Amino acid sequence: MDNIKYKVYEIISEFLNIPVNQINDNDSQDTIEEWDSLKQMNIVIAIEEEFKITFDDSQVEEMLNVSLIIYFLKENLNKANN
Amino acid sequence: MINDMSLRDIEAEINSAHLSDLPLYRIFVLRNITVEPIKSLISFYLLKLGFKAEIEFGNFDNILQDAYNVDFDKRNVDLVIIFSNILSVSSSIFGNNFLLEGEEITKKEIEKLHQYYLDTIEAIREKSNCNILISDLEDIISPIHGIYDNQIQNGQSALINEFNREIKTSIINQFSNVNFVNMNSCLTRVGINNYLDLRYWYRSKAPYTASALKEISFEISKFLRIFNGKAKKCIILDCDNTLWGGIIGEDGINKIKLGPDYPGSSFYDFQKEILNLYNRGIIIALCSKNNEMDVMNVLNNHSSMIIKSDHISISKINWKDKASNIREIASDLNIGLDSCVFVDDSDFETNLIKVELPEVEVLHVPVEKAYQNATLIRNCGLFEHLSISNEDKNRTETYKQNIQRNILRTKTKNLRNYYKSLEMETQVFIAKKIDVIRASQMTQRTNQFNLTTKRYSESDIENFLNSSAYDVILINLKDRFGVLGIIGMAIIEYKNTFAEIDTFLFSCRALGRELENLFLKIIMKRVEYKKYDLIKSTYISTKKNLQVQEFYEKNGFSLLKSNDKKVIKHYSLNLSQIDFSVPFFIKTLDINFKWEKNG
Repeated sequence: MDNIKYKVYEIISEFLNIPVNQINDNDSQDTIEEWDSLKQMNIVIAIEEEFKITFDDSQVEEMLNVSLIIYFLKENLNKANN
Repeated sequence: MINDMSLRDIEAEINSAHLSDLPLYRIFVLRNITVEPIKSLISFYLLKLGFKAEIEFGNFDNILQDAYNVDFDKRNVDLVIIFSNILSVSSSIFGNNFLLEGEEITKKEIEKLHQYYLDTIEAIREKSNCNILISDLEDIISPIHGIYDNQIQNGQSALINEFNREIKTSIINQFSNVNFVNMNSCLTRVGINNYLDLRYWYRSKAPYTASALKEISFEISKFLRIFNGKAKKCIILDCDNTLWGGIIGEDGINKIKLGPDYPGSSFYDFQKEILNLYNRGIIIALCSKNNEMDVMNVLNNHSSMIIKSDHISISKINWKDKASNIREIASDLNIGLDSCVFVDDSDFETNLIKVELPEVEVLHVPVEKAYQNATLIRNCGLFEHLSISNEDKNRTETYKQNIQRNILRTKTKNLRNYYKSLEMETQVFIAKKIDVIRASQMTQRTNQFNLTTKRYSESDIENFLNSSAYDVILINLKDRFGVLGIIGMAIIEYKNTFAEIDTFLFSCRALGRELENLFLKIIMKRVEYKKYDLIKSTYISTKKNLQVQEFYEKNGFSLLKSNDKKVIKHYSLNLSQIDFSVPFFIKTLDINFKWEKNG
């Protein structure tokens, strides 16, 4: 797993208080009971803090599962580098 | 201080802490904003103070209702925090109507808000003498009148400041153990660009950024420290490059940097802050690796020393390790190590004490940043105090006496008057094509006030609309603060001999106004109009909808059966005598379908 992906997994693990190995790319508010809209907000803000980026509202809207979160994070990081 | 920690690290520390042996500290939060993310931050501070936090949030924008309904005493609540945010209090005073409404109306609005606060505190006090913290209203960032706002007496900014002052005066005069969180301080320290997160404000009425939340929870922690008797008693100071610039043993008394002019001015101001602490009763101690004579020479003879021998209760000036010295200081003073704060410019010494004496609070003041030292002492939050005058003490006694009141009648009267003051205008209507998206969304997103949690797609809803065997009924709401939009939904299925409520849900932002009961009544009237005598309903329990497990019982439905664990409950109600009148506190009720039996 690449570094960015692992960090995201770690953050999600921390805020949902579940082990990293119980999370997979397809997980979302629909698959994990503890994951509600408030936890989603916490996770997004923690990721912004960790990577020093800010997501657009449209990105926040689309970050519906783990792999999408990672996708938009990378999109944001690439923008920052270009 | 958590300002240097990431949210993730704070969360990690809470998660990995051994909390089970710690005493509990219970906080109940009343609020008109989404502020749950502050839970971990406050819990972190309470953990540092030696407590396991139990923090519960009241319903959204139900500050007064929760003040009446929550049994703070029975729940052993230690502290009630009231988050009332300027963005949510938008009305004629603070919102867009300010330009249009005259001064008279604005004054009336402020009076209503003032009374709302007083009613809330009174309702809490009727049940408990717990500590209460109220957030000040934040100043308005962009007044509608722009620069003109600052030129007139009653601009928005002036009105808010006046409100904050007056509510403080009213409350202090009538109640004890109520304190105020200076949100404007927090805002100023963080800066407005870093304070509001408008994305989440628009998304879920969560106004604060991570920075803001950290600053606010830090501010609250200062109160928590005092409420739990953990204000620090003693400050233990290094000398070289802390009290003065340079090293006395090498530079000599004439070359150390200390005085009102640069480069000694940072240390001069730092000493002024130490003197402030002394004057407030904090014990001053020195702990320095030096020849005692050298330090005493400076203390007694340097013309710019603000801290003098008289201010020092105890000194350990020797070449021993500082951990031993600090242990001795605490022991000599007969205070706990956890009452001490150690201040030193040295990485080595501060790290040593952090490891050897973890109970001691350590402030590292590197000499390159000496210009920050005075401010650090002011803002560290470790030596705060809330003095209690004799007057306040008497008021507390008065409160402890039993005051006989008909609490229920007062509560009902005040709450219903409050509802009336909201000037609620509601429409109940059968869903149309244009409502399909919203209706489907509501079934997907509503988890708490949702009796059966059935999820429907847009085409499902369209099928219901097109079928004569179903009614999809919506309710919307507007009040004097603005338009809330569609706040509730019901799907009725018409079967052979009875009608059944397939779906009944309500948006959490519109709860606490008795509207859900009104909506149910109207549903019942509709079913009655459709010539049914019997209406059935179901409650299917989930982890998130426990708050509605008695909703149908409370509204007169009879429980038909439930399985052992009350996971599914079936109800019925005979519709022969539905008594319905529009509650007095609703301003207008508009029902766009046929619902009167004889109409």
